[in-house]
Amino acid sequence: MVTAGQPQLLLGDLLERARREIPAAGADELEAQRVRLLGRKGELSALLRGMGALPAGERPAAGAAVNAARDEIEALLTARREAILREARAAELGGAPIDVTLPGRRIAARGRRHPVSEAQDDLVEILARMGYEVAEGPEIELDYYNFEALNMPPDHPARDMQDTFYVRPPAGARTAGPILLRTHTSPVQIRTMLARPPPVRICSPGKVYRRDDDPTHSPMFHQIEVLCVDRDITFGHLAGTLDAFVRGFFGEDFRVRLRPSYFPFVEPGAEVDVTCTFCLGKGCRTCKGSGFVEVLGAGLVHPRVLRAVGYDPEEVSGFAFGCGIDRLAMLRSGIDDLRLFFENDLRFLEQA
Amino acid sequence: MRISLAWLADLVALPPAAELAEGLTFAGLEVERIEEVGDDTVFEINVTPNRADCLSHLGIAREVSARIGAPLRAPPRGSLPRAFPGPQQALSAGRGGDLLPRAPAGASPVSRGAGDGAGEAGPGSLPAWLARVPAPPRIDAPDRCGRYLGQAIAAPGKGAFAAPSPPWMQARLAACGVRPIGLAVDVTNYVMLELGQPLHAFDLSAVQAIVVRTSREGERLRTLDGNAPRLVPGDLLICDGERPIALAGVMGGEASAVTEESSALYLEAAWFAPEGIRRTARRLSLHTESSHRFERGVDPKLPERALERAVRLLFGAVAGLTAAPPQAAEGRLPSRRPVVLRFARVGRLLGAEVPAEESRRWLGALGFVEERRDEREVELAVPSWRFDVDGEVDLVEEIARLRGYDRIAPSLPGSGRPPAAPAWQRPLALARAVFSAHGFHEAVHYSFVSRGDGDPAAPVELENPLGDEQAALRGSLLPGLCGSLRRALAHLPQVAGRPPAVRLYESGRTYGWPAADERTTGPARERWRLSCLAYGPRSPVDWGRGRGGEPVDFFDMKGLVEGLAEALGLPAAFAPSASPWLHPRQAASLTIGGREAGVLGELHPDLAERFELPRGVFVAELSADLLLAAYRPPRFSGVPKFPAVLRDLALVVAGDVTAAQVEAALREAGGALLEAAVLFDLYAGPPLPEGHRSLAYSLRFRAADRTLTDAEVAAVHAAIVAAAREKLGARLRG
Repeated sequence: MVTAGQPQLLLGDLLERARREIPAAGADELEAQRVRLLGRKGELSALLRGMGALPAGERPAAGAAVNAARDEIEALLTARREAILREARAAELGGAPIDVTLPGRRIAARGRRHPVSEAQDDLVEILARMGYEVAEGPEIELDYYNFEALNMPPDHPARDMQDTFYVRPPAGARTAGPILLRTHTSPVQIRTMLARPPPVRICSPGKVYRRDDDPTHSPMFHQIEVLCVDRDITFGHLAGTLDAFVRGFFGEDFRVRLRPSYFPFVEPGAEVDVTCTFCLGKGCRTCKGSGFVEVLGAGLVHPRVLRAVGYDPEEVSGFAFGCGIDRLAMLRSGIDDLRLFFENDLRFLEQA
Repeated sequence: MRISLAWLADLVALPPAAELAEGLTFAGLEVERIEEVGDDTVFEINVTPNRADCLSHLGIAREVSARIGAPLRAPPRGSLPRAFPGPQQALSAGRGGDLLPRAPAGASPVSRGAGDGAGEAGPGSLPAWLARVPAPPRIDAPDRCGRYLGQAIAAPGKGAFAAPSPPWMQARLAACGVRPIGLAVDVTNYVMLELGQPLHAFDLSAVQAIVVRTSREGERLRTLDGNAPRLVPGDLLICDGERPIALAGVMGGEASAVTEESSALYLEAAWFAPEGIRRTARRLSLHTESSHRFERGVDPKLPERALERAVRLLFGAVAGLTAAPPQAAEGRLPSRRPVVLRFARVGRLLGAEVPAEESRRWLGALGFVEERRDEREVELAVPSWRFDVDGEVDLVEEIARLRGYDRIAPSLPGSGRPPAAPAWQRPLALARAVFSAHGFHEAVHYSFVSRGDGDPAAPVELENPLGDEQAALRGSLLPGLCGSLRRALAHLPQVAGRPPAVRLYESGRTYGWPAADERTTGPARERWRLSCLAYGPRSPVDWGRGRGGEPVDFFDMKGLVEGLAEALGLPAAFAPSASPWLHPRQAASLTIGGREAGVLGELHPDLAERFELPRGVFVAELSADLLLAAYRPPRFSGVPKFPAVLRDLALVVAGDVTAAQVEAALREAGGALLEAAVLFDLYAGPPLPEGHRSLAYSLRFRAADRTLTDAEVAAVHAAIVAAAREKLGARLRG
């Protein structure tokens, strides 16, 4: 039998118990409490159902009391739930730290660039900024492009400066003269000039071959050559371009110095020295105390070369320079044996 | 070229050594080394091949004189003296100062050496040996021998010409790196080093009548080095009548050499055409001091002076010599044309203001003689020793180098058209980034491989390789990569018992001969390849859960290649390959747009054995030409607006049904609604029937314009299942 006072009384007990038990409940217990108190078949629902027996005048007050109790219980549950999460987070954060000094883990080791190909990219980029586009050509060349068109006819003593590998022509083939491995990338200049009229501004990077093998010469190495042909190109332009090229690669503090020299395809010709990278110009063993190391060959394009490609030396002039990319890379990165570049020892490559 | 400063000081007044070295270096005669030899200082000068005139002390003295303006103290020119000085005079002449006293006027044509007094022997007292003075020389190859001078000299007895030369002469020769041998040879070397004219001394008994001619097929001559090279037509010979006695300009013959037994000499001073000397010297690998000079060019006016100098030195060293008059024969010398210099051209080429007066002054100092001049230009006769000068631009260089290159102000040419980047630049960078991200180091190998012996992989062979290992050019990048792997395995340590992980790639050319109808830029076919090699654990060893242990397999390599294709925006297709490089069961070809772009797979076990490698080496060789040219920059298309629906599907198929076939069936039946099909499981074994396998896909469906309904997805899913059953005999895995 239900009396008028009973629901309130029961509600009071229920609340009191909730206020006592919820703040002490664990995570699992909390859900059980919610179901027992607020669930569809829970205690509050039972109380609500019991209110149908109350006189009509008492029902609103009793309903309000039940709703207020529900709100309070929900707030208690929420507060406890949050408290549990906070405690758990605090417990997690308060534990012993991991050993952050253990080695990091790689999905893959980083692959490195080869120092020579990287230097080549750098040089091409420096020259691109100065208006030079990349030109390429065959490594297996005809004697004509490698020597003759460059003012080195057969039996020219300057051919001794570049000891040459010759290629055995395929059986039965008729070839336009001896076939060789290019000794410099200059044949690319010839092929380019033959293919188009001036002005020409190109750089030609690539592999070249000479019949040499010692710590400073390898039978294969890399060269980049620069050619600029236009109206009124002067030796002063050559000097200025070399200066910008060298500073671009080594740094602003580096200087170039030109000495007269001889290459059959240029006139006047020059050897180009660059501030020694080891002592920065102070003088050391590498530069024999001079503060400079010999790095490039340069000059104004010989009129005979211009004529050989159909240019008129009275109309246009040009300069050309070239250097070993490997040598530049050695100087920049402190490598003293050229052959390291081609042994591909992982212990070397991994240093990049 | 070694230059003694004491000797040089005989010929020109010198500044201090350091200053001199710098002056020469910046005039184009690089002083590479400075060495103290006794009281003397020796410069090692790098003489470029165009400056044969500087292969002597006289030549360097000329340069010093031109550069600093000090007057040259060269031996007097003029005709051959009729009489020769006594030993004391020659000695002092050799050491500098007043070089050569003038010959007394009216001296007899045949002279006698020290002790007898110059001019003492008159025509009436000719010695008996004069009867054996050879007939005048004859030049049968006038284009090859421009001049030939000879002179007979006799000593009172045997041995004088093989005796040691005076100590001062030996000292100078030694300072210049020439070993003293005996008087006659030393004198010829001395004159060559002083003046630049190679001389040769024959034993007079071997010379009856000098004939200069070219060789006939099969002739032989035993030369001073003891060899008897086979001669070919075109080699130039000095003959005694018919019999060859010297390889002209290269090396003397053994039989006509001056020995202890010699009592008389025949001294030769000649001019030989450079190209022929060079051909012979190169073919026979006989590089001598003489050929070195002749092939670069010797002053054709030098023979008289050199002969005179040599005779004087001999007379100075040995008492009682007698000399017959010099004999001469003339061939054809190359004609030298004067060169015109337009004064304005100097500044226009150099980019510097050079007054006409200055240009004239420098050229005058170098011995150029003005033949005609107005205010615009000057015509100059080229000195006989300057073979290298035959055009205006050569004169410009002379002016520039004597002024100093440092006096030309650097500037930059005006900017031209901005350059186009090569089409391969961006895709190559993308490909490199993929390799790098996968841990591949870049390698650069020699293009050389060992001779192919008809191996079609390396058909291009060298005529003159450095060795058998470098006798051919590579037809593939794989041998280089395999070689580096072998070396790496020899020295890289194991980690935790696992083999080292090796990842290498290379971008480079391979070489072959073109097919008959194939067009190539150069004489050979050069192809650009991108190749790589992987061996060892898939990922680096770490301390975690023992990861990084599993070795790489075919699908790691395929994943890399797929990554490359994806980076380049290229749809890649793979099919089994029969590449001889690869394990026949683990080999695939890559196809891009219907063209084969490379192969990948496990290195063939036979090849692994040949390269001394373990199994489990995976390689790829791709065509960079094709891949980089096919590059397509990415295109973007926003993100989907409607949700995707995911369904899993496991199909059981017979073992010979490929994944590509299954996927093709899925895609065809799935149509536009099937956005992706990701294989997430592959299973074979019980309870599946023998020889069958199950492929489980996660399918993603999406429509671009609406949210798919369950009914739509169910319909397309059913269509996929039906298609797989009909085409491939697939059934759903229960």
